[in-house]
Amino acid sequence: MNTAAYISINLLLFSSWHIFLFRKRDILPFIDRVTGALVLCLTQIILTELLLGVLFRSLYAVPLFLLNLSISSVVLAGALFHGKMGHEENIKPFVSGILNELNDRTIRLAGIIKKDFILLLLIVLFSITMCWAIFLGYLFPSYAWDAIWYHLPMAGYIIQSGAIQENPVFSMITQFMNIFPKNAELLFIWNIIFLRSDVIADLGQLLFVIIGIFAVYGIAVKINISGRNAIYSALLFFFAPITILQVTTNYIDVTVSALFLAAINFLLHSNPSSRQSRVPSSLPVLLAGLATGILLGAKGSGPLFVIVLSAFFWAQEMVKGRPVLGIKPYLLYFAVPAILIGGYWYIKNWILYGSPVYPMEVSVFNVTIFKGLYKEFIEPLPPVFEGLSPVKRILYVWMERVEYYFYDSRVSGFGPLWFVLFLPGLLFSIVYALVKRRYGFLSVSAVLFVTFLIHTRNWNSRYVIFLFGSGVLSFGLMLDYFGKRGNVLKIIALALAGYTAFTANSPCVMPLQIKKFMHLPANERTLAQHNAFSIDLHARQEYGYWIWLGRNISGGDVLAHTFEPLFLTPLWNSAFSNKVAYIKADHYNEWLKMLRHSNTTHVLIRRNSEEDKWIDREEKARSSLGWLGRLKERFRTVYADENYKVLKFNKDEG
Amino acid sequence: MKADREKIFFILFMVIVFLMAALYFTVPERTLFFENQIKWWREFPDLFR
Repeated sequence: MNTAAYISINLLLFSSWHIFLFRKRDILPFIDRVTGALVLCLTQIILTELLLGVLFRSLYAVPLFLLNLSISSVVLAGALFHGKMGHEENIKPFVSGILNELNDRTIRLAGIIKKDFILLLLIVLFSITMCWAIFLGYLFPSYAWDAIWYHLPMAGYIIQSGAIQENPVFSMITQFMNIFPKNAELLFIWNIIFLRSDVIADLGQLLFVIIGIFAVYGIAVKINISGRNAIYSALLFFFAPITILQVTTNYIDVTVSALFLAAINFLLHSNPSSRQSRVPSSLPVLLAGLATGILLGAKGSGPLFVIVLSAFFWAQEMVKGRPVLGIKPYLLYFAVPAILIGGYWYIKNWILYGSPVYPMEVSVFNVTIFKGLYKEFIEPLPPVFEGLSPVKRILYVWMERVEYYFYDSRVSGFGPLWFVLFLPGLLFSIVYALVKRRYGFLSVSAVLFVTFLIHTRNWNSRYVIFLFGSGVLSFGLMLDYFGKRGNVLKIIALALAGYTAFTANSPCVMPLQIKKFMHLPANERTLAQHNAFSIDLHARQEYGYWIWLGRNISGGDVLAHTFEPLFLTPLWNSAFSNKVAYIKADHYNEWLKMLRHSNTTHVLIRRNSEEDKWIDREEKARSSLGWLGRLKERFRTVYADENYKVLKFNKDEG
Repeated sequence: MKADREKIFFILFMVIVFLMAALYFTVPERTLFFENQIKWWREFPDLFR
């Protein structure tokens, strides 16, 4: 039933927006309408969750399902019965028009593939790699460090309270969890809340890989790359090791870059050199604004992308001589939607903490605009960077002097396609574009390079995956230029894509672990059973209580913890149906009162902690009372190892 | 003339690509990278046993 609800609401969301956009087929080509429908789906999900979580404090499965069902039904009805439509005889041709278009596109793609064996092999490689990633995402729980450190706990706190609110701060990371923009986490929630399981939560970025691929194709076609070579560009976008590995993580790096590329793609509609800029319309600007808004609310660096995309909008307007769209569409269709969808987190931070980008301090020419706690990144640079200039740092990363690929490797990520094929391709294609006045390609490259140059820590591949987009676009342009000789380049690209696909194996997911997990029952496929290489050394001593909690904490239970655990995610069960609360006090009676007040059912404590001593003292006092004391047992140890204890708390006793 | 120029560009481009490939695949860490991958793929058939 849960699965049926999840699939049906997703199908309804997508089909309603796709049918809605079908009416705009004179403005938007097919792939842009599919990308647009996906952006509109994501927008609807985020807005409905914000509405339920912030205003009504009832972000639960049923209200969320009903609200989205209502909205999508209205959109669908509006799209089907719009204007002159409404008579049954008119709906049928409309619906068959949609199906015919799908059929037509499939036949056209099959025709292209039939004539290009290398493309067929690339599609097969792409499909196998994608299916393998989906299989691993399904089989393993979310294991990436930041995912279980703060991305999933942010989702967990919202799911348990049904409210998007500030939570008690007891550590640095919980402070950041209050401050971080959470649009991406709202999408993680969408993948958990209906299924009542986190089984596919780690595939949260999969959709954004698809959006990124479609966006690259859309850009390629708009900058006059031939359709077939645009497909090469689009598919190759997937073959960066960092992208392949992040498909199965609850990170947000692919999300940010894919949305950035999608926004560029929509803004290109009004590019004077674009093949598809004949019909001036506000719709692509609106879709760009929505994509930008989702991005803005997904990561703290979002404002940078808003500035760059706004500059791109205005640069295109200026080039036309006189603005075609102008200030009104910019504000109405770009700025306002972007702020509406992504601005909430910044406005909230401004009100609560005095700065929209708290805790980072913002200064311009030594003048502090927003006060904060940190002036720069807290995380230190990789030691290998010592003594290296900024250019050498980037080259070091691009040469990938690493022993394995990793989902958040700071010194690799783009793979051999980038270094071997795309870097020389970029050099050639920029010269070619300058000579041939290919302004579309030049403007997109300029946007991507400027963003890369001004991005903080741009040597870190995962922050700038969009730059890989410039590489795949240059490759498409090179294929166009070299004509039949380009087949050699296609073979090299296929070989390097194959190399990337076969070597983008995380050391966290070894074949023996895959085998072990294939034989485990679904409820046993947990983080502790996985003992992923990335966390194992730090988390070994936590596995015992993680396993116990995973097996025994059920819906409605409230688990109180009294210390900052290494990771918060394992304190929730796989359905995120229990509650987690940090409850600490200076005195025993005060602590008991707080436990009762929060309806605590279980307590997680450290051995020899203050709480352990209180409980021990009380236990001794009670046992001295003989049989009478046992009747009044308040804490019962249900799990204990050399470091931790889990106790069942009976709030009615004592 | 145009065809000759394209041919020269193509040869030049291929030379650069092969140079970049040589640079990329001969960094000292690549040996260890391949060793790790070989280890991974050697374990892979065990999945089906």
